[in-house]
Amino acid sequence: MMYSLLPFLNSSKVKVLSLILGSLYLLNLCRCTTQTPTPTNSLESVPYQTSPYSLMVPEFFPQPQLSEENPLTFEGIALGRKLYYDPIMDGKGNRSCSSCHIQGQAFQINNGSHQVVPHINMTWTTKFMWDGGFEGTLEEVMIFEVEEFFNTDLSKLNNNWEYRKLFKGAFNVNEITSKEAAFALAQFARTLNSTDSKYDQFNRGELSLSPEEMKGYMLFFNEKGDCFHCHSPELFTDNQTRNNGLDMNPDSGYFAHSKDPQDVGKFKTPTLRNIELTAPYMHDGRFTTLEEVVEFYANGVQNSPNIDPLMLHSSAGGNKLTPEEQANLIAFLKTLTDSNFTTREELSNPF
Amino acid sequence: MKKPNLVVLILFLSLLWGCTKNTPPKIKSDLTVSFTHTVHEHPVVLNQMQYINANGDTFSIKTIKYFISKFTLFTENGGQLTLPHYWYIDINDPESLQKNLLQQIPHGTYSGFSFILGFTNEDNVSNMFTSNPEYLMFWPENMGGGYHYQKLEGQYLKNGMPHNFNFHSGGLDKTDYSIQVIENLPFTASQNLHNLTINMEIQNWFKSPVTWDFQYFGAGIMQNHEAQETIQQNGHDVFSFTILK
Repeated sequence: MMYSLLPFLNSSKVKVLSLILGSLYLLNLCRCTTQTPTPTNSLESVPYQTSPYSLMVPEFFPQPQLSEENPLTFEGIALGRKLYYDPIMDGKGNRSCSSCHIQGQAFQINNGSHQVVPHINMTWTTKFMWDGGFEGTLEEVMIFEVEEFFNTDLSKLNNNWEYRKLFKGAFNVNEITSKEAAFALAQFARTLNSTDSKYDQFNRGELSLSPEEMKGYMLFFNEKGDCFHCHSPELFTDNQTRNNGLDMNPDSGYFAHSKDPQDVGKFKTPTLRNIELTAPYMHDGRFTTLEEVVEFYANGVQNSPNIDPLMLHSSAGGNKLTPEEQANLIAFLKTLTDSNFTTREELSNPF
Repeated sequence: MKKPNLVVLILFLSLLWGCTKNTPPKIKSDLTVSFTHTVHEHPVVLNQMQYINANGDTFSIKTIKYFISKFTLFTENGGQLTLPHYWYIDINDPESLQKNLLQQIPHGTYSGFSFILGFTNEDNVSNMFTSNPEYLMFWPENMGGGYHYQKLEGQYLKNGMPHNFNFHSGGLDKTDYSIQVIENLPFTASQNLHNLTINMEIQNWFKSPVTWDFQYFGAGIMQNHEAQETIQQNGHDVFSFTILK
């Protein structure tokens, strides 16, 4: 069209026209600059496309607790992993989940400053916290973590373009709320699974235990050692709250939630998986070594008024294992250490 | 292609609808099975050191959990009908105390029934349960594997001091200690809802033919063949039954 007009234009007209066209072009450029898509606009171009993640449930393990409302996806898990390791979650900005849940320490922390519950096999858990006072789904726990424990400043997440895109891709939301943050964390938490210790390999018939470990295994799984009813395989916890006779006048424990005097001193049976790595021990961290723990169960049990009946030897003060038997039991407990879990790349810090 | 005749289609569909509504009357009855637990014929009160057994020991009860399997009805002509169920009962879980068998009992007259407390060896297979609470009833592999038949737990007093007891039974070293309970209680299954109440009298575990002595058997008895055999023998009169129409 322009070319066809040219013969009818003289040079001055051409100059004027060029000026006009040039100005229009520049205006257009300016307009482009000022109209750089805002995050909200361009989020629409971020596809919501998720790939379902199938959680591997090893042989002999019970069925995990999954969520129909929050199905596992590769995108949700990857996002949850970033959040787990990012202090952006903390309303005060200096802690992440991983500050107190360190992979090399089986997602617990050994510094003794405070006693945290290790993040191990939570997909099989319905009672959370040391006193078992939080009963519900992982999603509900994580909403508590986001809204109350961390008091997450959601505007920080919403002002972070990278997170906006990741949440759009994983949950199809333009604005991040505590629900999606919790759901992403719950998805990652469902993959923090320790299922490949030496014990598991033995259980699958892939290797033998040493003579000491085998003696410890037999003690663990008979009523002399009296461990297996509460620390029941394959999770090595029954997910119940019980009073194991730490004190004659124990801490309140689950009583704080139920107000039932029968629940005084009841704390959640901790998993023994990776127990070698998760010192200090008990809800108050009173024991620093496994030797101290096993000695407590041998000779230090207090026959407190509402001690759990599964503590078979409580009236005798413990199971009376000899030092050699105690050493064998500890040798077995160490077969529950899972180096795959503590080093696996997919669970590590992505930053 | 010829279009389907709308009138024919409506007629056909209404015929189908009519068929659905004219389902033949059901020929099987509903049966509700309720589990109750008593001490001296009174409902169990948990966690109270208030009972005295045949040996004179004061005791309390905290836990009663068990499996019932192979529930079998005896027909009049000598036949047997075994329901493909196991039941898990936990006194602390009210929902577990009532089992509803909807339309599973063919109409007719029955001369009685039987069931197994626990599992016979053939049914007591390790790893058959993959979820709680049944999963937690496992019986360790080094004791023969499978599942506890029953966990009855509490405390008893000796010289004024409380001692824990775990009256746990199971198939020790593959010996079958399950208890077969046979009841010749005739009943007729008709269209009405029937209720069978199965009561466990706790005192009878400790009474006959062997007087149970907590001190003698000790707190843990899972690896004690004599104790397992005694439980099997004493189980003969633990259950009683009531049928209501």
